[in-house]
Amino acid sequence: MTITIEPDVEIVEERIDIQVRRSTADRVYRAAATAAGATTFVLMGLIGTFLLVRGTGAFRKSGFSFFTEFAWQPDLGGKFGVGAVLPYTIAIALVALTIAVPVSILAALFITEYAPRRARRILTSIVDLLAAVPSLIYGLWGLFSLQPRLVKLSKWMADHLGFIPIFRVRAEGPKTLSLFPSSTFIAGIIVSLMLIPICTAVMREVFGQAPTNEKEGALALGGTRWGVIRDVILPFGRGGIIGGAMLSLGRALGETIAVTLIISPVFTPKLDILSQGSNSIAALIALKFSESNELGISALMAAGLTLFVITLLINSMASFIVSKSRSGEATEI
Amino acid sequence: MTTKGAIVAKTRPFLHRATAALTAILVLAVTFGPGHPAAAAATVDGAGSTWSQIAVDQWRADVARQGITINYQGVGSSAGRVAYYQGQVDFAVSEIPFQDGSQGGVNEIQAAQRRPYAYLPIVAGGTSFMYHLNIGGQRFTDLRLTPPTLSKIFTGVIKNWNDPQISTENKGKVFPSLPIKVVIRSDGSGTSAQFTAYMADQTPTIWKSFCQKAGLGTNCGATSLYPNPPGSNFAAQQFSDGTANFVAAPYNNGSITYVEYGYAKQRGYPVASIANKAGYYAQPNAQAVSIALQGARLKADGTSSLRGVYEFADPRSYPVSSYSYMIVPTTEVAPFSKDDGGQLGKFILYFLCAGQQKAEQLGYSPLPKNLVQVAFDVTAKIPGAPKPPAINTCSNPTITGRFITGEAPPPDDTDKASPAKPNSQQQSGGTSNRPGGTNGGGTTNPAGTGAGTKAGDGTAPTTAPAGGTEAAANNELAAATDPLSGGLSGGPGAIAQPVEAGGKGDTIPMMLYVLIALTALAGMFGIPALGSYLDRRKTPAP
Repeated sequence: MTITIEPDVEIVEERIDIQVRRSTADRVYRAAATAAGATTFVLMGLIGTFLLVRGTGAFRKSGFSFFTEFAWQPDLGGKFGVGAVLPYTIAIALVALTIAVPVSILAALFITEYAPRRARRILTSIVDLLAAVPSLIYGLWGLFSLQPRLVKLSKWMADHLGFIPIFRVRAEGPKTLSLFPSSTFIAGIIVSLMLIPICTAVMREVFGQAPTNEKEGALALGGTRWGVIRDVILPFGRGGIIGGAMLSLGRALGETIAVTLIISPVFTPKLDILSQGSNSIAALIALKFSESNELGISALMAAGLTLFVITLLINSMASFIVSKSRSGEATEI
Repeated sequence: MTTKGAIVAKTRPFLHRATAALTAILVLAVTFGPGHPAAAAATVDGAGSTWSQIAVDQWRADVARQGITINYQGVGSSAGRVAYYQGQVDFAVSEIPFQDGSQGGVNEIQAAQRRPYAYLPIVAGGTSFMYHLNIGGQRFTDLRLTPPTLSKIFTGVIKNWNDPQISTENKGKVFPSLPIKVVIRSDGSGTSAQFTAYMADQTPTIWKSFCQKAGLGTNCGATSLYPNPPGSNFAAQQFSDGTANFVAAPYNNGSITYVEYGYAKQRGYPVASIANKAGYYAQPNAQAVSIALQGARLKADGTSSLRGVYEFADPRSYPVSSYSYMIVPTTEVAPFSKDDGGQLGKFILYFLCAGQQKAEQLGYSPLPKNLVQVAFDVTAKIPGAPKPPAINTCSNPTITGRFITGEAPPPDDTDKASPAKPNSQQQSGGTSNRPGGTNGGGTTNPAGTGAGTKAGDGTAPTTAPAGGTEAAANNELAAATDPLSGGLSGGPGAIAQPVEAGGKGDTIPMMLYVLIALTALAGMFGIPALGSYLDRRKTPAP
């Protein structure tokens, strides 16, 4: 359905030469807004420069092997690199997203489309509340309460889904529960719990903006509620879904304390995600920072820079996608 | 748009606020800029070892009642030493002195020259091997290991509990096939350093081959960063609490770690008896530790060489015993000041004397008199610290005669490491139930013959005044200690209690969660419902 605008309705601007004469107030507001806007750039530039400057020493020492070397022994005069840590970081984030995104989509759909009005308000505030819970709390809860239960799930998955390479756990003798704690999988689940509120909030916001007339139109044409969701809301909210997922990915990559609490750091890569041992750049920095010396800190900064650049790319990609898909653009009705 | 005047009028306060905010930001930037913010007069900050943290935290809590605020962060010995020479803390606690970098890494001694320091022994203790081993649904609590077997387990040579060597050392007991899960520290740790020093010294070949596997070169001694070479599959956890909690976790059957004895005691988990040079298996209780530490040789810097401890000939000694040290500043280089020194000095004098009475109960061993003297001498060098009292007025139990090193009875013959005697005893648990074993029935016997009669080693005058004031405290101590050590050394019957306690500990948080969730839900649904109800009452429907 397209609205054609008749030429005679077009508003022709009066071509008066407008002299911009800004009042003091205007100038002040303008300056303040510009400064605030610039702050983000300045901040990002400063952090990036800081990491680059501090990390240069390590980059110079290791060269490109920083991205391929597995071990991490800068202060012992050994080799160091993020060759193992980076894939683990990404693996944890992917596990988290695999769980968080579908749950968030459904939760957001429920809140915007199915929930009764009062429940909607309450659910919205609960989701916002969950987003405000510190990640340390999630980490502690995950460590003491979830992990003992999740190891059983891990074992079940290894027993029954072991034919899938990432769930294959080799053990000498029978598999015991002690093979499974502190894994990529468990860390990913705990991170996913922190992502769900944020992801849901973003998606709910976008789904809620789906044009009412199109929804009503779809219903009027005999569409079911599910039909409306499938043909109006989801296409309309595609940008929100992708944006929410990308923002979550950025956060998952940078999650520190909860991951530090859960994982048992390892520096040798492995294919499966269920068995004990994982790692993450943020957790590595948290773990090693206080006891590191010059080169060690420089190496940590270099790792931080790697993470910073990756997160930056992901977030700019997300904002690009979100900005590209504006209201109704992708609606098919 | 509103009128210009209104906007201008509104702008003024905004401008003021903006300048105020800007100033605030500047102030913040200055305060959190490089350099240490001037330490507040009343608080002293420290960081370091988690090995001795149980004791340090107890002492901190004790002096807090007298208005002395000591902050302490258990971040690991390595991080503590770094924090000291970077000037982030007033004092550090570490099991090992500053390293000279010969083992790789930074020359800490050089780095620390900026802030002159001295080592002050704070407490003795045993690095214990806490394990979690259920056999047929029963917690096994009677593990015995010789140094070579211990090293082989912790270097990944022995990977399963059913290894014949373990069986041999445990009177031929048949262990189930269960992988041994070694839990190591992921952070730079004094506990790791103590234990690897022991292995490197006592079982050099096993240790060296492990080091090479880990790519640490041939000349590899003690290390604060426990190696985790590819294929070893050790689990790594942060801090002593982390490793101990991990071993105690219900899903980690078959795991073993190295922590100070107090951590195992807190959790009601058993620790392995380790064979000493005389060939007897010993538990890391206060007596066994203090007996072994008679072999320590005091060095010029105030720390001790532990070689003689590992090989001390007394059959009652626990070989992996050591001291923990506080690194204290001897000058007023920032951030330290005389005010801090006064507070820190009071704290030190408290824990060297009265504080040591709690050592045994907490899973440590009190400092002997000669080291208290060393520590007093160091305290005198701290700027602003109060003058140490005469040593005989110190209420340290080794000085008052409450704790006499070597008062423990000789070990039981069943605790002797003997060549393989398979199938001689099926009922292995029964033998160690005897009170006279190395588990030290005698160590917690304050009222017995020891205190009064044997205190004659130059401390006789002090026992009388100290006795009156400390009697109550000591009785309390003894009462608290007995059930704990009993729980650890007893057979399956005695152990049932800690197990139950663990289960109980799990249900209480569960209840709490439910309660919190219910409250949250009630708040969530109740308050809006109430609000809308009230709204409806106020404005009747049209």
